[in-house]
This record gives sequence, structure tokens and C-alpha cells, in this order.
Amino acid sequence: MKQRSRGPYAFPDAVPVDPVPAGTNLLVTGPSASGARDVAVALTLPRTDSEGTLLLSTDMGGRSLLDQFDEMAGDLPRDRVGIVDCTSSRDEHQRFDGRVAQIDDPGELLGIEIEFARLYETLAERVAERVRIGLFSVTSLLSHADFTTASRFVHMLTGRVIATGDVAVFVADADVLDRRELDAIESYCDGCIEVRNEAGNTRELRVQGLDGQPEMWTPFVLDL
Amino acid sequence: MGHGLVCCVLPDADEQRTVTALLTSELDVSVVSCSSIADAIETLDHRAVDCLVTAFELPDGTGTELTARLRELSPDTGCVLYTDADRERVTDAAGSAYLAQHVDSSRSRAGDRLVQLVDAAMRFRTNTAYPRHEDESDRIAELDRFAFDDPSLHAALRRVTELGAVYFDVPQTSINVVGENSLEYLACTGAEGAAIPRERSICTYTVLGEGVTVIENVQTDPRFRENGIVREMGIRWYAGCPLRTRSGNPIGTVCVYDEEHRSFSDTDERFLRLLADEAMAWIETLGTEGDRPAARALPEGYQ
Repeated sequence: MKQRSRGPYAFPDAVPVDPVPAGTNLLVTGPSASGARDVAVALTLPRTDSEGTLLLSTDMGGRSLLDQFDEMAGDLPRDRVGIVDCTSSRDEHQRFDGRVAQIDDPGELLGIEIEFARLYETLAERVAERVRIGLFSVTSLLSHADFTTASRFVHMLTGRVIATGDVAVFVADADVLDRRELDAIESYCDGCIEVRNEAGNTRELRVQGLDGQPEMWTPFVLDL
Repeated sequence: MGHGLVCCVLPDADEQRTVTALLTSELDVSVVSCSSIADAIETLDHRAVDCLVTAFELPDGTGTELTARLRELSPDTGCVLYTDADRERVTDAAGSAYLAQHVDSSRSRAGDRLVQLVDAAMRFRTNTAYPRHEDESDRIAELDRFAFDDPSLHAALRRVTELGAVYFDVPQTSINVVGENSLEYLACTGAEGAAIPRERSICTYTVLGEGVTVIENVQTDPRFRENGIVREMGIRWYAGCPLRTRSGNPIGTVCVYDEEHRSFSDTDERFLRLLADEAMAWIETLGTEGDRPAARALPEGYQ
């Protein structure tokens, strides 16, 4: 079987998270305005020409999600990005017109799994030796599917990441998600990055569950 | 894990041969080859497989039908749909709660991907709908150290559940083993139950915790509100404590349930922990092969 690079995945200098081994699954969570989503975007950006990004957008249109990436890091190279757009928006302007699969219901998990697998292979065949995967967001997924099925979906996805030696980032809104659901999802991941916004102007994060990472609250400014 | 067993249901003989050769050369597995749903069900009814790999188009139905059947028999078993069928055809044939991993068989790296997913599904049990204990292999190995067929053990555990029912004044208490794929009742007061899949069991989550788990309203807990078994049992309030071996592995639970909300004091928590300790002491004494003769030396009424 053809072996892929199993080296660690590094992150932008502005994010105080050390590189993680290939096959790592990360939960990124925090209150709604904490900046957790921005951290997840930063962690999912491709860092080398051999990396691609595959996004599952369940809580906003693929186009809008791509705009978030562009706003933070300049234009994301379109040939190395795939999006499974799972929103039910019929507004075609919201659709990403590049490498995209459209699912009209974030609860249609089998359809998402199929399109994810296909887009993954497309990226792997053409441009990306390694893929950064982002699920935006677990919160939306759990609100559209029963817990058992959604839980199995996330577990399967983490297993795929372990198997293929990629890295995945799962975003969850701690204000919306029940703590017990969050704990279950966290159990599937290797580590959890908690984000908070102290006094509304100082963003901080800490990493739980990963060796050698900052466990204390560390301030950061996302200037990419 | 040790040697695994994969069931491959691929009607195309050439594809079957290719996939079988690939899996057996790359992984420590044996492959059972089947060509139809009927053929596969015959196998699955008699043999526990670690992973199912199936085409979508089968002579007597679809791979989604077969996988759904396997999920009924064994919800935690890895399932991979190996197909290039259109998404709409696959999703139309599947129920809303249906889920299996997917490999597009038309892709250049389909074989590699199949090997990777089958390997992960078997080694890490990544198809379960619930988190597993961080030391699950150790936990199961330690659980396998015990035998639970001694009537004296069941009688002793039954007394422990009765103590719980009297103290808490609840209709249902149970002592359970949380196995690799299912929860089995060792002793109950109130409704007797057959083994249930772990994904349907509240105790699946209790063994993940450090101490006593209390759920004030099971019916509104997002993990269980759509759980038919919990609804049928009429459980609203739940408290459970892990049964820990001497080395600290949680092999099961003692739990009490009520149909109504109730308070739970520190003293109540202490009593539930005592019940768990008592149950585990009996299991260590009467459930270990080497200690069995001791059971015969117990005073009359304790056997």
C-alpha cells in the first residue's frame, strides 16, 4: 500500500498550538463570540503546497464559509479546497462554485459521508498529499440528526482521519451544545482546544488532552 | 487486536478475488466471501465478523439493506459500502438513521482506502455510536477474567440489588456487566431485561465517569431522549456507579432508576458506592475461576 507522509501538522504562528501528529482529531469549542470558529479556520488552513482542505459546512453556505477563510488568510487556493455544503439554502450565490458537493440537509449523514469520501479522493488524487478536514459545525450536525447517528458519524470521521493520517478540526459552540453531548464528542477526539474571549477583547485558548501543549490559558491575536 | 474476520459481499467474482487478496495481504484478517444478502445473512447469523464490506447492488437487494440488518444483529461492527453507485440511489435506499462508511470503488486509490478503513474499524472500533473507555482493551481483558455463571454469585448480587431497592425506595435496580458490545444484567429488581446493545444503554456512559453518574431526567437528556429502550422501561431518573476491579477498570455498574424525579443526597451517593463495592467484592470472590471453591465454603443462605 502506498504510504503517505506521516509527519506532524503545523499551525500558523499566531495560534499558540504546537504541531500535532498525523491522524489527530481536535475539538475546538468555546462560547458563541469567543473566537473558537476563527481558531478552527486557522487550524484548517493548508500550510504547504502538498496539503489540501476539505470542509463540511453544516451551519452556513459553502460560499460564506469560504469567505470566512478568505477574510482571515487571503484567497484560499481553490484547487486545493473541497466543500461538502450541507445547508438547505437554495440561494445559488451561497454555493461555492468550485470543488463542491451539495447536500440539502445537515441531517442527511449518509449523503454527507458519500460526498465527503468522493471529494477527499478527488483532492488526494489531484493535488493534496495530506488533507486538513474541518467540520463547521458539530453543533449544527447534532441539531439536525438524532444523537446516536450523529455520534456514529463523528466517530467514523475520526476513525477515517486516524486511518489516513490527516488532521481534523471539529467546531462546537459551547453555548448551544448540551455539555453531555459535548463530552461525548470530545471523547472521540485526541484533544480539545478551548477558546474564550475575556472582557470581550482578549482572546485566550488552552489545549486539553494533548501532550506537550499549552494547558494554561494563553492569549493570542489571530493576525494571519 | 488479534486476527480479524471480514465478510466481503461482492457479487462480481473478479472484484471479490481482488479485494480478498488485498485485505489478506495487507491486514491480519481472514475473509468470508459472499455474493448475496441471503448468503451473507447465513454467515452473519453464525459468525461474529469484525467488519462487513459490501457492494451496493446485490442480486437480492442492496448493500444498505444488508448493513441495516447487520446493525440490528451487531450495531458496533464496522460497515463499509464499496460502490460507485450514485449518492441519490444509495441514500434513497437507506433509512434516515442509516450510516456506513463509504469507499468509491471507481477511484484509483479505492483499494488502499478500503484497507485503511477496514483496519481502523477493526482496531479502533470506530463504527460505534458511543465513546469507548480510554483503556477499553484492558477493560475487556479484565472483564474476560471473570465468569458470571455461578448461581451463588447471582444470589449474592440479587441481595445487593434488593438492598438498593429498599434503601432508595425505587422500583428498579440492577447490577450489570458492560461488555464489548452489549450490556448484560447480572441481577435485577423490578423488570428483568435481556442484554441490550451498548449504544442503547445509559451505563455505557456511566463506566466512562470517575464516580457516580446521576441523570435528573433521562427523557430530556439528548443522548437518550430518542432511545426506545429507555422509553419502554419508563426511566426518568437514573443513578449509577461503576463496578471497579482492584486495578481500577470499570467492568460494569450498579444502578437505580425511578419513574419520577427524586433528590439524591451525599449520603445516597455514599450508599450507592457501597453497593458497588459490595457487588464487586462478590464478583471478585465468586466470579474468579480460582476462587470458585470458596463459594462452597460459604455459610448456608449465602450461596
